[in-house]
Amino acid sequence: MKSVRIKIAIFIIAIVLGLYSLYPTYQLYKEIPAKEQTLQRQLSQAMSHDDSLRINLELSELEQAKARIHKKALHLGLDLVGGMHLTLEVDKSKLTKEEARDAGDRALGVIQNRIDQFGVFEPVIQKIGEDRILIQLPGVDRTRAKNLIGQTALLEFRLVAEAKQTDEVLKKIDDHYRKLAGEDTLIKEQGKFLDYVISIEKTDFGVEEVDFSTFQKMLLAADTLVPPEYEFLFGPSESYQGRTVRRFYLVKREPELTGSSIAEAHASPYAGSDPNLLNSWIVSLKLARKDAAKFASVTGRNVGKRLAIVLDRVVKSAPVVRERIPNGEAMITTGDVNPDKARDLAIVLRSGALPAPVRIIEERSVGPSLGHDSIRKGIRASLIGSIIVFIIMILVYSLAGVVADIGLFFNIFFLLAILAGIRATLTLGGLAGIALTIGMSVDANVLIFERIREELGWGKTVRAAIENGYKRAFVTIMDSNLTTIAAVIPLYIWGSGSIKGFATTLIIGLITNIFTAVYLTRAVYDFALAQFDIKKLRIG
Amino acid sequence: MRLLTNVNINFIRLRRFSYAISFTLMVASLALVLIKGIKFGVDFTGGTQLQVKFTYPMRTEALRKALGKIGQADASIQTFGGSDEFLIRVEAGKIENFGEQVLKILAEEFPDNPVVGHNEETVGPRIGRELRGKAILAVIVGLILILIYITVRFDFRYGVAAVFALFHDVLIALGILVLFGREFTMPILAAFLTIIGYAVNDTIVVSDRIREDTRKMHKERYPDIVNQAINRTLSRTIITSSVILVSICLWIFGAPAIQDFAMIMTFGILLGTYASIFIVAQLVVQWEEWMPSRRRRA
Repeated sequence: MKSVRIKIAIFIIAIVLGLYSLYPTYQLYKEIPAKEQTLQRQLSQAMSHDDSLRINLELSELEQAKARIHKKALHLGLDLVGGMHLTLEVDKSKLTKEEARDAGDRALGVIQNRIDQFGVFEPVIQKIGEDRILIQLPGVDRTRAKNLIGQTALLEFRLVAEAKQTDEVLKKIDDHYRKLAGEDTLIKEQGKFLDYVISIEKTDFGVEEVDFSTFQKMLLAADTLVPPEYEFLFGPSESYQGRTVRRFYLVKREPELTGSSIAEAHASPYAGSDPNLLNSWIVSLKLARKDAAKFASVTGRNVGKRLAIVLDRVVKSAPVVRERIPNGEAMITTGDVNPDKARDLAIVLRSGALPAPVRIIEERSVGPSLGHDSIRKGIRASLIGSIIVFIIMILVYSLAGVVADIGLFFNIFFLLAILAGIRATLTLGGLAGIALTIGMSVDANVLIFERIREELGWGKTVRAAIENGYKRAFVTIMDSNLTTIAAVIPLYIWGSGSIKGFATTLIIGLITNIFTAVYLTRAVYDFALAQFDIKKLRIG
Repeated sequence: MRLLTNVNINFIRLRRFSYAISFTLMVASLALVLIKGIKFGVDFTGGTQLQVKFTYPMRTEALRKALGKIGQADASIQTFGGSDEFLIRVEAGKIENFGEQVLKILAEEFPDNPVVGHNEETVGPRIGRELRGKAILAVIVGLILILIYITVRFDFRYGVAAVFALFHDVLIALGILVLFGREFTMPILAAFLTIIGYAVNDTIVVSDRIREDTRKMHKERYPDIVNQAINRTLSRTIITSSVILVSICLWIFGAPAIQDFAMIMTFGILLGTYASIFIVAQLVVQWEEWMPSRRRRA
């Protein structure tokens, strides 16, 4: 009888540990959202300023508690809660061997910095292999996030050619195309190069957005006509007199200065005199001391000329230098009334430029509503299925079926507790793993019961039948669970994402299955046999 | 409630029928797979796939027309779940920011039927190849591990028969996938692996019983021992396969993302159960009749 007590004690300890491991998960998904809702409701009904202040304080405390608990709770995968998964590759093709050596690590640092400043809840940022970076961001605006991560953020100050010189180059290119068109009637349509060019605010050249790609191609094809130390760069698309246009500039290839060391960058509303920029947001930045000195001398030398502020080969603006700028202050206009762009740009500039451009080689994003939809439907379907299986077990094995159901329930309980304990992430694949675990768990119980029935059929006593039934079924259960584990281990090793989640839950589920189906249910019988004088076993 | 007590069906003698059925299904599946081909999802081919869910049902032609406005009329469009949910797919590198553009044009074209949910997957072609390679590696190594385990615990012949049965289950399930015109995606791969796990389990239970009975019964003929083992585990096999109800529930009530998975699971469990009753042990008996092993002579 001692052994029965020890067994029961072990189970009670295991259950307590399981509850301990699952409690933060319960808090995170049930308790905290409920509290948050009540507080929000109170806030909307708050009478006095003090009241709302107090409630806001409580809300922020709750937010902190959430962040703390989140580290201990079972996480839901991006496919369930929504969010984005990105794999980036650092393009080292243009780097020297020396630069390429730690480019991956430097890029990782910069991206980490950017995401930290952006303020994402529980991001995953990892380097995989030499030059790949894996990023997982739950519940973010993907366009913004992608823009934030993908920008190289190379800031350059380049001198703009005089308007007269630009005009000459454009005419030369136009002549070239006219001559071509004269020779070949087929490209007559493309003959009119200058017709694409429009004048913006009298000072700038531009091209309409619809013509942009054609125009860009024509410029590229006539590359030889552009003076070798110059190149054409475009601005962002903007609206001008009801049309969508892009400005373009003939700028020096060699930058006067690159903004590699930016001391400060922050978003602020535009406060200057340009009516076009009224109400829009800008990023004001300050260069670090060494660059500031250089900037002062560059601006001092070029008073009256235009200096283009170029970010990742896009001309943000090309103001005329009015005087020498001694303190290294500059601003980048966004032309946007929404502050998001300016804020994100400030983050990117503060975190520094990436050592090399990054390419997104894999991207998966799940809209939060679809995630919720699939989790709700998945859970409901699994619940219905499980309940049917629970009922079948009771129908087929009556009272013994109830014992089996207890075993099944605790199997899932321990599985979730361990998953929470090892901070695993539950994905759609993980749910599938749980489904298969339920199947294997049912099977283990069925194997045991069928054996017990057989033993009883041969006229054994209840105690002997249970003893033998478990003993004989045990071999089979071990064999079947171990082969399945063997089949799944390669998936754990080579699988990715959802597949790995499937393998993880299944492996853990099969181990807890052996524990619950073989030991837990057995302990229930042993306990019953010890307490009551059972002559007949109701096993269907 | 008791199912199938003291049944005694001669499954071994029925093998001609079961072989015929399995052979037909396998040939049909192989033909389907070869003729129609397996449609791989973006996970394995690379490309961009956008899943959109509208508020109300939407016609495929209207959707295609809208896509035509951003020059993507030749994108593959597939209904997914109901008539309000679609999968739109383009090849890798065809268009930048595909998802954003599509969502923008849909919002413009169908202001009365807004998109309520979407998700996007972009897989570079190189990553697609890598994922495919790793998946194949994982499956092959998994099968080898199963073969080794069964050879060590039982006997090589059971291992071969079991792996053949897995091949049988997977091939027919693949035929069903192609027949229904569904894509081979990562979750489908997971479903196939689940089938494998399930089928191995069934086979092992029967083999375990055969091994146990062979030790006890010296006088009976080998086919009789095998047949008795199948009959004795029959009730267990049937009750356990009630788990199929979980996958049927997922198939009916689950989100579209999991429905294909559940469909393959459902057929897989059926096939696995069938094969473990009608195919695996029969193959071993057949082998035994052609080439008696040491165990039989003992």
